Amino acid sequence: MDNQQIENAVITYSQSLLKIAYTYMKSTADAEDIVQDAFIQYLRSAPEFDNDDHEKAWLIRVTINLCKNSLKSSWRRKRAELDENLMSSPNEDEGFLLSEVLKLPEKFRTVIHLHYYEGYEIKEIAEIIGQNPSTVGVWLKRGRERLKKVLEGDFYE
Amino acid sequence: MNNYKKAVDKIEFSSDFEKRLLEKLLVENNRHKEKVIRINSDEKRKKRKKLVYSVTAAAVACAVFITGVAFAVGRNSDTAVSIIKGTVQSAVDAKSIENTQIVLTKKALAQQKEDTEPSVITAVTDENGSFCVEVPTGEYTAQIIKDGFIESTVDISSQDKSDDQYNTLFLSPVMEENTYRAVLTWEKDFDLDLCLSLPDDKGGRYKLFYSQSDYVTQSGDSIASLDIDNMHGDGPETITFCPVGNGVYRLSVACYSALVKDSDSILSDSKPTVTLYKGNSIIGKYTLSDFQKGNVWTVFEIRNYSVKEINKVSTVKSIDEAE
Repeated sequence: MDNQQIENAVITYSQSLLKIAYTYMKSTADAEDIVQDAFIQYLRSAPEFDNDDHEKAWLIRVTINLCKNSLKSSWRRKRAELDENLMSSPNEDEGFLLSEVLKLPEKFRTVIHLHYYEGYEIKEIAEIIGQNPSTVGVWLKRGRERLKKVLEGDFYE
Repeated sequence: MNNYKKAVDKIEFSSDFEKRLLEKLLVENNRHKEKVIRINSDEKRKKRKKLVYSVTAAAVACAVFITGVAFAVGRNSDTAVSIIKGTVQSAVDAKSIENTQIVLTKKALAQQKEDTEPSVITAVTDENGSFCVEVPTGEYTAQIIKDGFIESTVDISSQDKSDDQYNTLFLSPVMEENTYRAVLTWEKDFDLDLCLSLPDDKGGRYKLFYSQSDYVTQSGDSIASLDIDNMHGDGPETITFCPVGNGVYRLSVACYSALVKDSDSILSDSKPTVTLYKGNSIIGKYTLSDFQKGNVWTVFEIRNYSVKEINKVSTVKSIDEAE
């Protein structure tokens, strides 16, 4: 793979991937490790992409799979163990909102993040994570319902 | 929504992360390119050597063969040398596991023969999780040992050096005490599926399988998941679950995707084996016997942490019918 291509990919996608990895790993250090592994896979696989969107979706999928594998290798019940960095958010409401999203079950968290942070539509999310769109729609709805109970409408558009 | 975006944007990652990442990737990229060049050069060199020496080698081989046949007539065939090779993978994500110890113990010879060969041979997997070791021809028991994983024992046969088939050995990571893991392996290239029927928290039952691969309770706990869905031969398919309450957890193996009739025995022809782990040990191993007709094999039930083998084969017309 061309070095320039690698540099462009890092500059363009690393921040997005870090944030997605963070929603799984809940630790900035672990998220950084995951994203590094994702780019190493990118480099070794050297896949061909139709366009930038395709490339980004591929990297997101690899990142999510790496997160899941990392979490499963010491299989245990998930708990919201939040990073200290989160607590340093100057705005308490924002920090609280993020902490509540991170407490959601993994699949609700993922679709919430991909929809509200990355701006993907349901059909696009379904393609990225390999689920059917109706399932993604249900997960999005259930995730919002859970947040609504806690946040009393702060989350809603 | 803006608050969520703002919160995510404020997560502080290492300030030099991108710089360090790029440096590492560029080094890795160059190393990868050099490796590809080296592999290509090695292959070309090997091909040239083969061409140059093939005629001479053929002549020498013939002479050796003739001599060897005469010499081998009176020899004990058990001292012939073969190999055992394979890869060790994790049962939850099929990733290769390096530095795994494989202890091979030759199964006992007939009593009247004196065994002068070494009876225990040890191998260690490389960075790709692979191993290959020369052994006296015969049948072995392989203990597979790696920190953080549950030790496993399998029967394994030596093979000719020219045989390119690998034995794929699976290890399960150690789990918490009341967590179970069922790992399905099988022999033929059919799509077999693990299915776990469990009580849901509405008083009904939930079927965990390839189309519904996770069960999350109302309180947000993931208590069962299909870790690997394998659609080709030898597996594994893996379900990990942590029973709650007194309900029944029932594990089955099905061949939904094959067109089966009542008289078909694709399922049993595939010789499926389910290994059941709990916590840090193996607590059961179940193999479907031959010539069973049907497309669903109900393996066992767990209730109050007590495992009861069912071992029943039946035929269903759709996934919904399977219990």
